[in-house]
Amino acid sequence: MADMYSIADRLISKLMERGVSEVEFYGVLGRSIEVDVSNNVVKRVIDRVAGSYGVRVAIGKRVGSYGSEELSLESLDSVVDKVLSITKCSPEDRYWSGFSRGYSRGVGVSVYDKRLETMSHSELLEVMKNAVDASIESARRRGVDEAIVTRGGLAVNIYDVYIANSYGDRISDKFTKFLVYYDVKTSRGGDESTYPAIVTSRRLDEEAVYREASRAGEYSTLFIKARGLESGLYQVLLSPRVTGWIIESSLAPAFSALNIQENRSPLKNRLGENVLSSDIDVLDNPVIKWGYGSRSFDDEGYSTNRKAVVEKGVFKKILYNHYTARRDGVVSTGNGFRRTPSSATYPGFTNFVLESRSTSVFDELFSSVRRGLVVYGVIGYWMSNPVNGGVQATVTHALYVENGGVKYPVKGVVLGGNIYEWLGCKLLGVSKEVESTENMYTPGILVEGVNVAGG
Amino acid sequence: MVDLEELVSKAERLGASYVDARYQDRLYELIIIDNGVVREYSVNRRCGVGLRVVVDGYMGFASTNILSRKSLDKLVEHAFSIARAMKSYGRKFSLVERPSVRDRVVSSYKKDPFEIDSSEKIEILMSSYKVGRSVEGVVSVVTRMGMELDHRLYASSYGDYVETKTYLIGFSVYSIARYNGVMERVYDGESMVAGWEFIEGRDWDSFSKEVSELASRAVKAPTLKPGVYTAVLDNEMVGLMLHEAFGHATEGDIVESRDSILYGRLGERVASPLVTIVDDGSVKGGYYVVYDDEGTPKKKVATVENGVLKTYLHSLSTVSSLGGEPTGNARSMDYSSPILVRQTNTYMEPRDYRVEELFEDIDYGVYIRGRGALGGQVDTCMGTFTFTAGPSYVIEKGEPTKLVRGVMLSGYILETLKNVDAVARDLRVKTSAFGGCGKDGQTVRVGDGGPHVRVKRITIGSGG
Repeated sequence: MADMYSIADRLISKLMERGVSEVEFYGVLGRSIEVDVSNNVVKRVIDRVAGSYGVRVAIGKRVGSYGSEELSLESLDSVVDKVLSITKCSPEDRYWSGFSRGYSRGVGVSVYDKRLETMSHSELLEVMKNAVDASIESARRRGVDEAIVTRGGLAVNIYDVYIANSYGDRISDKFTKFLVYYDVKTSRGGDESTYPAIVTSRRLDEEAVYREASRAGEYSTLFIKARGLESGLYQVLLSPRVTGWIIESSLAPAFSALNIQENRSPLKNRLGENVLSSDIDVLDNPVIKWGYGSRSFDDEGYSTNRKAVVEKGVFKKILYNHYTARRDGVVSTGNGFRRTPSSATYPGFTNFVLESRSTSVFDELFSSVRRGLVVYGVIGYWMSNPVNGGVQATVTHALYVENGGVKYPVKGVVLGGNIYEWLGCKLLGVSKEVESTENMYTPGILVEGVNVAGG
Repeated sequence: MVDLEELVSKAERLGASYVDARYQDRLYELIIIDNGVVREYSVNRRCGVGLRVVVDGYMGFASTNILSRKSLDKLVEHAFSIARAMKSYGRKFSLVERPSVRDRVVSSYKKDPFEIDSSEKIEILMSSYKVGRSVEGVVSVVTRMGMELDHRLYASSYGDYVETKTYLIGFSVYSIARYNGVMERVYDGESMVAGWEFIEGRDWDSFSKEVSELASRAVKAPTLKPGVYTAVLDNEMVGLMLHEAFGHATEGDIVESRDSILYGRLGERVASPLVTIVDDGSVKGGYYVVYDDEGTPKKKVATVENGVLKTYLHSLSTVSSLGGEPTGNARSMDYSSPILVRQTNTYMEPRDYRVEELFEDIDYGVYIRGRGALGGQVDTCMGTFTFTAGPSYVIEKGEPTKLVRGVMLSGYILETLKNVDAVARDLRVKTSAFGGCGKDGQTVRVGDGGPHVRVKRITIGSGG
């Protein structure tokens, strides 16, 4: 196996010899370990070693790309032939103005946890076992007949990213990721309920894992005997995690320059305008310590930086990659990210942070709900519509509340509305507590007049 | 290419009581035309090997895409190390035995799509983009073409050696229309296990025009008042509902973990007597699975027969723990992913009704359409499922009338299918070259469908 920069150098050199205008290389080499749990016990451990790379080539304004997992130098001639044939057939992109160059780094931030790289399979199994035990113990303390961890597990990723181009730029870094996801199920008197434990970080923080494990055990007891709710307009308090899920699908993509340029964002031509409540700020923050989306450069070698995207409700900044920035005659904001090593970059957030200038403790917001739902879990939120801000999500875990008091747990109802209204004219409050799921850092929000379709 | 049988023998010599090895070489080509610009023209090749060993009753799985002898030695070492580590906290692993299989299967195709000149592909995409973009009110159109050759080899201690090659090809259009400051999107795609002849056999300009015209009409349509309705679901929506509302909860590994509301319910009535649900690896229009990733022949199996839950879907391991017969549903996304129990093509068997008859008795309801639907999701343990529909129609006095947009449906696994009171005769099954079914971080190709179906009560929400 050749190292990534050897592959990059050979490919770039071979392609330039064949007369292309420029080349960009993106490679990832890493290892991942997964521990899967089923019905309280570890079902399997998976250990993967994998490397892959993508090479993008421009001939004038024609661009093509090829991605491969084959890491031998002998395979490179066929990669060169293939990517040349693709590129020559591509029609010209009238907006093309070259690959990024002059790579740089922003502020350094903790993104690599050495301990994760050195942990043995047995040590990871122990973390998993302790988390499962913590969840079960926490649920049992609340008087359930049975508590089990049904499915899920933990995953560790250790990987290096390498970016290079035909202008002589090189940049690389080492990253880690740690993920816990499993469901806790409890039963009492023959009725069942669940709740997931979720941790996403760039490091293993055992205290945080066991805290979340205990919470999942506790919350799994709250939704026993959940039922439907009559259709109507209700106040809805979204937990911080649910807020993040919904915003990720319905709002975050609207700040992408590509979506704005290609008429897929309702924020087109609205820079400088009020788009959310004047209490709300949205930040792109790549320097959160151990943040899941934290990094000092993007997938095109641009330095990342902290910036306000929305300030006091006013749309302040569009997120650019190199391509969209050139189209608008500006400089990339360091927000170009790839779906696969060979794909073009697309503008997106490093870490999305929602902040409010006026916050309340979550429990105070809860107490202020006159007639509504406090929502702790939804499915289908990812089908919300960033093109118009439409929110759609089906509730799996919620509490029906009147005058601050819990009446009964709810599931199976559909929330509908518009995220610009929920974070604008219908926003009643924002919690002080902020939680992260992957790269979304969000508080809870209390919204009025939410359409609830019940059963 | 790796000698899988040699790898299996080597692990056996080192003391494994059971070994299986999977090799995969997958080629995927994707072309995206975004408002007339080639946003992406990429080819990706994934190639590697996964090894599963059972040592002293515990399983270890490891994979690598570095195929040197040294790396393969390391792979065996890793798999053994994991199996040994599992002794401390892990569960013992067992598989049921079955007769060995040696076979080679190539899906049917006439023209290898990877041999077709790239300019021909781009010409078709550009033409359909232009037609779609010319529709009044449409402000953005993305056309895509995707093609895949998935080559898999499997060898095991049972003496299996199975080779499969599957071609999949598809075309999709994503149109956005704007009207009075409101925007709406419609996405649709068609795919087939086939070669280039699938693309040649369709008029993609007309397809693009239809999608854009629907977006143009939908953006002017109102949203539906949220509530509970009687609904007629078209073929595509029935497939989505079955896959989400039922299929996942029948997957043996979910049942085994007790994460399924169908745990312990074999033999119970879980749907209307009109409902028979099938998992079939080789139905017309669906994805093609003749052998699963444990080399087990894929059977056509009725999980629900006339409303009664008959079996779960199985791998060799879940049969061992839950009982039953192997169904050929052990599948993995790729060589590096572990075996999960997955659906193949899920559909409802047709009955006698003509489609028009389903509407006749409905005074006020909704005709739920699949064109533009995005997919669905289920919480198998809480028993709640949901899926979005495309632009749909209000039914008034037995006729579909006004278009509505932003439709999302939800229900409970153990209730919704009991509310099916009419099943039509028009079976249709679809697959996709652009996505599939997601579970535990793995996406696999699936198909789903059915005939038109009427549901007496279903919850419909609305956003936008």
